[in-house]
Amino acid sequence: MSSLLTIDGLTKHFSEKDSLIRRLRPDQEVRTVRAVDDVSLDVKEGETLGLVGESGCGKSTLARAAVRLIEPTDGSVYFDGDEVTGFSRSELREFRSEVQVVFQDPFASLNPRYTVAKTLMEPMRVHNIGANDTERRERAASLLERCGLGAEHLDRHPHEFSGGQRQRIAIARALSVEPSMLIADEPVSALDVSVQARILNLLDELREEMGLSMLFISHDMSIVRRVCDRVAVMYLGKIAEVAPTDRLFTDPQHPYTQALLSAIPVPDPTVERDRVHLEGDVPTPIDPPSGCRFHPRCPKVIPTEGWDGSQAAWQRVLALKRRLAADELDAETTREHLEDERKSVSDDAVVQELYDEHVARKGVADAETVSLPPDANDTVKSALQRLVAGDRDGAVAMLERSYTTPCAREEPSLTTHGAGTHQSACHLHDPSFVTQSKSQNGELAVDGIASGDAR
Amino acid sequence: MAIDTKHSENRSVVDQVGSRVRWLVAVYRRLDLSAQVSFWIVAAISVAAAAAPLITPYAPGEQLAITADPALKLHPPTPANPMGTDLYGRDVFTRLVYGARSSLAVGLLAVGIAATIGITAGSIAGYVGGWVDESIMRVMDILISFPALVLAITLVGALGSETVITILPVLGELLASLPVVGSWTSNNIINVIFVIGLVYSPQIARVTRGEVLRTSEEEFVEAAENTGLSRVRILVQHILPNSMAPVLVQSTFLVATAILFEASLSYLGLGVQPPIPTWGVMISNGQGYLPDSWWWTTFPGLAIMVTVLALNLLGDGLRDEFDPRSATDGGPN
Repeated sequence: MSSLLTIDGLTKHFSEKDSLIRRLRPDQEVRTVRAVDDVSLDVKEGETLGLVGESGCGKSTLARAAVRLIEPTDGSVYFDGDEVTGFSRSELREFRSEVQVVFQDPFASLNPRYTVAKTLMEPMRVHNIGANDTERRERAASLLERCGLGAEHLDRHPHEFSGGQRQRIAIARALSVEPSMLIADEPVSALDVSVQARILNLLDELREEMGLSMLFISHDMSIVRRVCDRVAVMYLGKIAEVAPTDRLFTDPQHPYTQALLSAIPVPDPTVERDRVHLEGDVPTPIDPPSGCRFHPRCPKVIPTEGWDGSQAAWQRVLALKRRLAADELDAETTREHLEDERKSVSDDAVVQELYDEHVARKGVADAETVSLPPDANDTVKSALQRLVAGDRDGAVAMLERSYTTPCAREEPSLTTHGAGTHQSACHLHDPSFVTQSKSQNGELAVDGIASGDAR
Repeated sequence: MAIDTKHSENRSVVDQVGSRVRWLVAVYRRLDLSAQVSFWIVAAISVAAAAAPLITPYAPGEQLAITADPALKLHPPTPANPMGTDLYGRDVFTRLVYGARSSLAVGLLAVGIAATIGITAGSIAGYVGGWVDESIMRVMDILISFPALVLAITLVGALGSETVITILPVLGELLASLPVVGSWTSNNIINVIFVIGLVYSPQIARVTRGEVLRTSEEEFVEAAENTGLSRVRILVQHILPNSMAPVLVQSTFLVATAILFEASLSYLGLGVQPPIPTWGVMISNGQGYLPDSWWWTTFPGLAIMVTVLALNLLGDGLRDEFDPRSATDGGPN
């Protein structure tokens, strides 16, 4: 199978609008949203490649940049050997008849003033398909029927249809130019669950019938599992893992993929599940985390050199660091709280209370007891003392100095597993990186990731 | 099969006209009472203006004091002259009905010109963006920064006795082919129409630009790009038709403003010149006689008030209908 669409190092950055007011304030730099950062992917002929990730991770931007609905900042895209990123205007128009996009929201993607016939005939006219309008109308009628709607709907307007029917019209429009590839951008996420299955079936039939390749974007893992041959997992503008669907679902390598898979609902309340909970929210792509972009939320983030505690204890320290940096810890509130309970309000008591609440998690439901190694205990407490003394920045700096994950230092590159079709971008899969940390802490090994020490 | 399709195409044209009419009726039904009443007032004034010769037995310039009865100078209302006569013995009601022609013509044509300039400029500015947007909109800002009346007086004065037609012969031919207006081509009224149109074009341009910016973000525009349609066609076929509702509403208000504007210019003697009767000229001529012959100025004044009020109320109703954000009652707000 040869590659039909090849995306190579594609990057899309959005700059905040430059303005006179901003230029008058040189202290504020132009902020850049790194929506898609150096992504490489390929869609093979006849294959359906899934692209999954949380909302806002850059899936749609990647797809739009790949077909130049928005201009990529950097990188190149090849279609059937030709460089799409170098296409002239007329070549681009030609290319539009090869790759078509089915958009997410069928309530927004159809011109409300166009009849169905006009919607379907316009692309044909652009690409000189059909000799005249009569012929195009016949083609439109048969396309519509192929997509499960009767030809009697041709003269109706979009507002006369339901969401599922509209998406059928949108699919018919995409097929009207006889493309060889479809990009389906969350084609069913705006639809009722009962309608979703039917639209997915339709896409599947059409794909088989017309030999289409497909890039299928979704945030729904169960749909992706059903539809796709291969799956790429995206996190904050980067590819985290690519694998054939079976392998991805049975043997996920990247901690993020593992977390995503554990979040798929199982319709059986008796099933005991090991859910991986991700800490915090997706960071903003304006200032993405350094190194591996997933490291602030990663349940398997690599401990700093010389760490001799457990992974859980390491997580607690990182969580404390994160909360301190986000200014979520307030010594004075804790002091007042102690005062209300008529306990000692000395600095030491406040430090102990903060420690109990945020590190040992005493009295927090669901939290297991975790003990930090002694030296870490001391460092954490002296950081808390600084906080109580009013020096939050100092406290953060102190933790930063002692406890920084190697994952934050450099970006992971894709490493290959098994037969070469399965790749992931995680430092844990990089032998040199792992030996480094392994030599320092014997218990942490690659195998340790898959077992249950993350919770 | 081919015949069948052809047949259904013909039917689709009928269907389309039918659906437009049904849509208009539906819009009318949803308007509030004041807007519905206003609609009929505007309709009545328009019909009266169009059918003026059928409504009144006199000609607008006919001096009844000479042709009929010398006593009919500044004569109070009688059944034969329901709004009295003026100093020259002309029937005020007749002049009022013929005056509606010039008022409505000025209002509609001026807004037509404002819309032509404004929609073109605004849509190019909004769709192309960048320096094109900046330059077009700054020119519009300059136009809007002058007080409208001062700008209009300057422009009318600068044009002097020459009409715009000598400068723009193509438009002159177009105007000459219209009924009623065709006979005005040598009158200053043409200049008034053009100047008012120019003065109000920035308002249309601003509304259009904003709407085009909003509509360009819609997914169906991206879908049109995805089909390979050219940018010009995307603007004309996808963006503009979906941006016109607020522009239409704005235009309704502007027709009212333009009518008032024409009256002001004519009152100042800079507007429409005799012999074309207009409401502004009637008020201007009759104001010195207001204490004794109130009918000469009061009726044209009332006509202006009723027309402008009706157009504004109609515009309000249409805005509530098309722009849910400004709904005064009900709705999600």
